[in-house]
Amino acid sequence: MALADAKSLPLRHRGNGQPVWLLPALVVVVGLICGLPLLRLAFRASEAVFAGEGGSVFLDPMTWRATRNTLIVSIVGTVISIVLGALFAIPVALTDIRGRAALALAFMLPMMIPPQITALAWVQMTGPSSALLNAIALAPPLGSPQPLYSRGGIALLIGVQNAPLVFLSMMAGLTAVPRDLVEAARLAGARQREVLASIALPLALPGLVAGAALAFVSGVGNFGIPAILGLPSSILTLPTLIYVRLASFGTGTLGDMALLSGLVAALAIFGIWVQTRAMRGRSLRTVGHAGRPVRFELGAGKLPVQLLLWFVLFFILVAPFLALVSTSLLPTYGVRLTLETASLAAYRAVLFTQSMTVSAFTNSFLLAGLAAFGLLLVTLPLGWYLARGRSRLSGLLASTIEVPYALPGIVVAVACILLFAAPLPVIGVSLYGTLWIILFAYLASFMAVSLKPVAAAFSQIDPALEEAARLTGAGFVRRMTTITLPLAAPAAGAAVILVFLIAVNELTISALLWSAGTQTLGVAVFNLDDSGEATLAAALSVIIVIMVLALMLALDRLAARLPKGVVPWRV
Amino acid sequence: MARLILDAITRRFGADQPAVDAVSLDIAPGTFLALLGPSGCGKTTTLRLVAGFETPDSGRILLGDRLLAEGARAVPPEDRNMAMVFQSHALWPHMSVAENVGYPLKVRGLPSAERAARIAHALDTVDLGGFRDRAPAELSGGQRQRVALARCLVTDPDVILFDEPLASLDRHLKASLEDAFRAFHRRTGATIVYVTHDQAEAMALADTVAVMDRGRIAQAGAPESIYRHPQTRAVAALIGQGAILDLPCRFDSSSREIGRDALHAAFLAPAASAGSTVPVLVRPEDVVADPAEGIEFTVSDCVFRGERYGLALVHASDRRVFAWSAVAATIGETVRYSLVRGRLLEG
Repeated sequence: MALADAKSLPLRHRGNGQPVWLLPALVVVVGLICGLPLLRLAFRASEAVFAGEGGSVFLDPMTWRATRNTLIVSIVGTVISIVLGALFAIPVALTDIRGRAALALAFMLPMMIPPQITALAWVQMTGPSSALLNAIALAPPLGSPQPLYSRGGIALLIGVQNAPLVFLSMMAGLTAVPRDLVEAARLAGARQREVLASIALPLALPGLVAGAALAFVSGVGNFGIPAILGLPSSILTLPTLIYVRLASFGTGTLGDMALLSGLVAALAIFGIWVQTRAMRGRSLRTVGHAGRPVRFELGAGKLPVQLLLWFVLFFILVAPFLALVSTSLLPTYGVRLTLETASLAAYRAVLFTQSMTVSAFTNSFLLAGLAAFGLLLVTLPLGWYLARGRSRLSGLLASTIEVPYALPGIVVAVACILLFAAPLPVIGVSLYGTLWIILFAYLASFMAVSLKPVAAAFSQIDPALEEAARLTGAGFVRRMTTITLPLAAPAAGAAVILVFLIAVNELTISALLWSAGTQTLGVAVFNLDDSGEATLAAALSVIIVIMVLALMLALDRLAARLPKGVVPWRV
Repeated sequence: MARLILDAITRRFGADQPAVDAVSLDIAPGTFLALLGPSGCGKTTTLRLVAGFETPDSGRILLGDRLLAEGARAVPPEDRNMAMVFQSHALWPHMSVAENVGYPLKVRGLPSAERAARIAHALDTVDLGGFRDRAPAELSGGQRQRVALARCLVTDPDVILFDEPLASLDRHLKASLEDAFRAFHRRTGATIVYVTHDQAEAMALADTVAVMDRGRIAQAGAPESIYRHPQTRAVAALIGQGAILDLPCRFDSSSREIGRDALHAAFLAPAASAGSTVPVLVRPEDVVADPAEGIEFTVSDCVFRGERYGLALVHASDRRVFAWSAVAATIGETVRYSLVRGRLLEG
């Protein structure tokens, strides 16, 4: 044995061969982007409480009126979401009705379409000045009130918007019901109806509760719907109250804004707590063979159920969109729409001549593109680390990313204002009022969106593939670029599309952070509607909806090459 | 070529009993070593320690005079010049067969002409010359394992590691790949460490077998020597067939071999008079028909094994042995058999 003359000096290395700088770099980046703004918000809010600034917020009846409105519209909205979500989830997941994939995709649309556009479309569908209703001579008489400018209207639209959350959450539970379980129950003598009531539905209950909690959180933070429907009739919710305060008093009321955001965050955290508790019972999922889902036969009931579902979809999806299209084709608002009067002037204006909308396109595409690709730079190494690393920090990193995504956008926006109100230290540049503060807020909010598909892909790649490359002598960077990243490429593509889809339509964050020249598409629609340019707002909305559809179809095309669960409507 | 030396390496996961417990092996160049043992015995962890995917908590690994690991300080796998065939093949699904095989050469920066020649040669060696442009997904399980083998071949590694490469294949494929592995070893003379839980596979392939049990090397040696001279009950139970009898201790302990007369005396001793007992291995080939002077057994089972019958014999004392027979026996029939040789085991 030649122990004494061992020549080479051994190196210290970790089992999975990651470079030593990886974890510290990830901790710093995630901490700066996702952790710091919210810490700043929490710090500022407690500062305000201890300095006695709380009085101006908590003694103001406006605060409590807005809180009450927020609770009413989000609770009623959640009930509507549960009814609609369950109405679709149960037949689509468990029965043999036709066109289940199409129904699932169509029912997802209300969630993907930006809330302010949903609100606009419904306003165009129902009021006395509806171009659609006037064209078919069904419009209510002029001067009659717009029924949607009310708490009920806000709650209804929030309910429609968030119903897909309940739907998806229930689908996850229902499609995991193993066929063996149901077949065993039927062999034991149970009839279809009994099996449904005694086995399938109890398994779907945690999904329903979790989905309802998510819908509540989303309702609390919704800005677009109460902004379009509530502001004209002075019905304020907490997010619109924050917006109005910022618009009228500027950043001088930062303490108040921190406290109001804290209130929104507290309501949201309650919802998230309920959702987390509901999901704990999910360990049931692993029993039996998944993969072969249950199909209950509806027999004679099949056709009526199909008709009902498509009718509901027509009412919440097709009719509002037709109303939007009708309005967008008007030469001027108020003219009756006929084949002769129809015009594409509004489209020409928003796409080419109106500098406000043209720059909104540029801004939104730039922001969404930078966010989508920029986030990959963080989420690719992070996703790999979460799948392969053995550090105790993994869990902390993952939840730090979840927080700004789970909290309403209005909270993140206020946190960013607080963080960047003063010029940056050392370099002395102020981000406030520039595009970069919006980009920063997007990075914080959507990091979780980008991480999910990527992390799922990495955890499905057999570690032996990387180990085999290691033994051939390939170092970390080479293994990543030639083996691991090519295998994760479809998921990275999905992450880019998902982030782009959400960011390009975003309103809540940019509504608080924009200033002259940095308006986004969401802000543009909102401003056009606010200044009475209904046809332009409708035309811009139609373009955005078509863009959303195109991106969803691109994602759908990619679905076969992605880990399960990445494309939300593919169940 | 250099010796691979494992010097008292220990690896523990958590506070439990170590997965690998002070394992020492001295593997001469060109050896085909099989690490054999039941699942959870530490054989795969040992292999991963040699590859460098795990680092030992203590002990040293040397390749010739090159120190690969000393405690937690270790050379990373990419600098060890080893190759491995994985149970899951670990072929890169986004690369063709030729790209998979050529990857190690690309990493080493070989010019493309030489790469192509070496890839062609490696693929010919495993009889896959015509498959260079196929995707791994288009190949059968056996073909994938051959590609993995070719990928190991191209770089002349110092040591080739096999992690249960045949565990997920059917019997027929197993036999044909065993032939391929044997031919591969004959031709390359590479040092091989081969992990398996299948004793027949280990016996058929290896020139040295190391039996592992609960993180330790229970016994190492040539397959035939382990078969003939198992030292412990665990090794005897894992290797070959036979009955392990607990017999009263009356043997001369200087020799582990027990002759017919001593064995018969112990076998027939009344169980009640037994003070302490020792384990004795009796192989089926040492249980021979002896109508004149054999011990009386009842046939409790008779199984056709193709070339012969396997008999389970039970004695009036309830002790059981196994025997081979050219002809079938009737269950319940009384027969006379002699135990011509036994082997004393430890614990």
